Amino acid sequence: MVPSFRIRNFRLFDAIDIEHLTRVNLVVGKNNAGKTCLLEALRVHGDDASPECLRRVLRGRAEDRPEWFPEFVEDGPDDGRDTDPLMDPIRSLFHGYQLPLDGSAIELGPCEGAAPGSDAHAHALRLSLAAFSHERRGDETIERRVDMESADEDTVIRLVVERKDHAAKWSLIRQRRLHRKARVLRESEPLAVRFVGTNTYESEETLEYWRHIAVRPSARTIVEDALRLIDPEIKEVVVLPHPRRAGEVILIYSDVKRLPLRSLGDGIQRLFQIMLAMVARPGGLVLIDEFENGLHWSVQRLAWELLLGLAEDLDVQLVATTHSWDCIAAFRDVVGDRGSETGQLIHLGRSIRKSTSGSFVSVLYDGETLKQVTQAGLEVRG
Amino acid sequence: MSDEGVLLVEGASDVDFFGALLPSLALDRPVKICPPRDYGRHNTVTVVPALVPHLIRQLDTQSITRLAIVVDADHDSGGGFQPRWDQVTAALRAEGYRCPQRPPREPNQGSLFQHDDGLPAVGLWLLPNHRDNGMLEDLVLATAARVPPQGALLDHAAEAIQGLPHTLFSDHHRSKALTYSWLSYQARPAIGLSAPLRAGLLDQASPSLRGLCDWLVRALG
Repeated sequence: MVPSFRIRNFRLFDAIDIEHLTRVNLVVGKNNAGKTCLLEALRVHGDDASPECLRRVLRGRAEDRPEWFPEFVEDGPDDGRDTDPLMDPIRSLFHGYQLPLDGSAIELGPCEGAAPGSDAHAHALRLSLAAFSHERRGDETIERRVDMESADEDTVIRLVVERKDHAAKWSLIRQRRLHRKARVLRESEPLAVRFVGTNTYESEETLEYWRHIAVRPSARTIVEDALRLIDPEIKEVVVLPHPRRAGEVILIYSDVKRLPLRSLGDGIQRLFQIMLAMVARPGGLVLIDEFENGLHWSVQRLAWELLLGLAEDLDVQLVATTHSWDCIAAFRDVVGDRGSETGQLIHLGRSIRKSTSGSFVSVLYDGETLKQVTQAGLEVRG
Repeated sequence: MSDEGVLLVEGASDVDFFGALLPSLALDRPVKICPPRDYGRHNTVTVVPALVPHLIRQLDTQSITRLAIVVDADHDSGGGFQPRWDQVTAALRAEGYRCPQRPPREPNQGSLFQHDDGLPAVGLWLLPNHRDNGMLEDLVLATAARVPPQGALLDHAAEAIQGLPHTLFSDHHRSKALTYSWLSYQARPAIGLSAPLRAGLLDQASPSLRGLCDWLVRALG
């Protein structure tokens, strides 16, 4: 499990420390309080800022379109092709939306003072820009890192990802040689981080999760049981190929009644999406943005009961965001009833201190404190 | 923005007493009366300083908009005015509040500490009167209206306690014994400290009660 989380220079966050993360964490706060941003930071951290992860994070906010950044043209010297269109949108990952040429870095990892452990996710990650120059020696091109100040037209600026425990260097520029180098480094565990966004259930990620459980009847049963909370008549779930989409989820009621999940309500689609992420594999981190999307308030309590149990059973750590008071109340009541320390509420807000006005602060509510959370005391809208 | 104040108290009898007192005051916002148990701690005065950082962070993010703290000064054996003042103000000072080393000389004024970095002022009242050792029951006794027949009942309670064949409680708890004896003589015998307030047995014009109410309005209003 991620025991605590420290973020520096990432998107909205100049600096924020979440001093404790527990098994199941519900993140609340007003608009622009950084809820989604926190999930993105956890996602980037958990996936070791892999190129695919960064691409998905940027795509999640429609920030991966190169035509939005026409001023950016940076050619690699050894192939002459355009650099990866991902490179410039990467500026939006940095606090202040500026590519930091001064060496400042995004830092993601456990809070200082956190107990060092063998946990695979409790590492520190650093993302910064660095300049590299190339020198031809015969048929070979030698690359070396140079000072940003001495960069010239042959210099390539790359995103450098370093892990405190691995000191890895990756380039996101489309150059095979460097990608090959990247593959030598520790690859992040497949599906170690599962992200459930606010998009539709047939997203690429969701169906990727399905592929992992399709041959595991016990996992499929968990998903089907969950869907029966909303519609008890469902017998089975299958995914069929679809000519234009990644697949078509079909709910089977009987030999003659089969309905595409897409044709049903938002609630059942949302639950399907969430459950797939939970059971896709044991362990790891599940991130859910706007948990309540489509889920009727009466189902939210059942959903939390299910998720708190599954998180324990499958050793999954869960971090979800919400805007909904119904969702918070359901979470508070379920955690209270279970009498466990497995659930925690994280309130993100902006400081009103004069010296740090607008900086982000987190307030944690667990155990008895969570029981006292009231709608009046925890404004989540606006 | 939510607008809710918190009155941090040390135990259930304070929740009872202030739960009856606050509705009579002209406060501009709802106020939650919270003992340490609401924050996952045992109800005891000694954990109050440890709760201060969490509450100040709530002020910082405007989860709450006002904070006032009321705790017993107690007696020199387990507390006392100056040590209690030192404990609570040290926790507030660590959060950037301007707290003087010495408490106010005059009783019944309470304290309101300003923050150097723009957070709302935080109030502190050490029971009974923000100057002397004691506890909530001392405030109740000091403000009991000695109108017939209450004066005679109070005198009788004092004599009864004096005449006990065995005194099991310490001298510090004499005010508790006296208060609850007196309350047991009422038309509706009660053990909660909201009872004398609700029954109109306390003198609203007494310096202690008036001072406390004025301070509550300043700190939470």
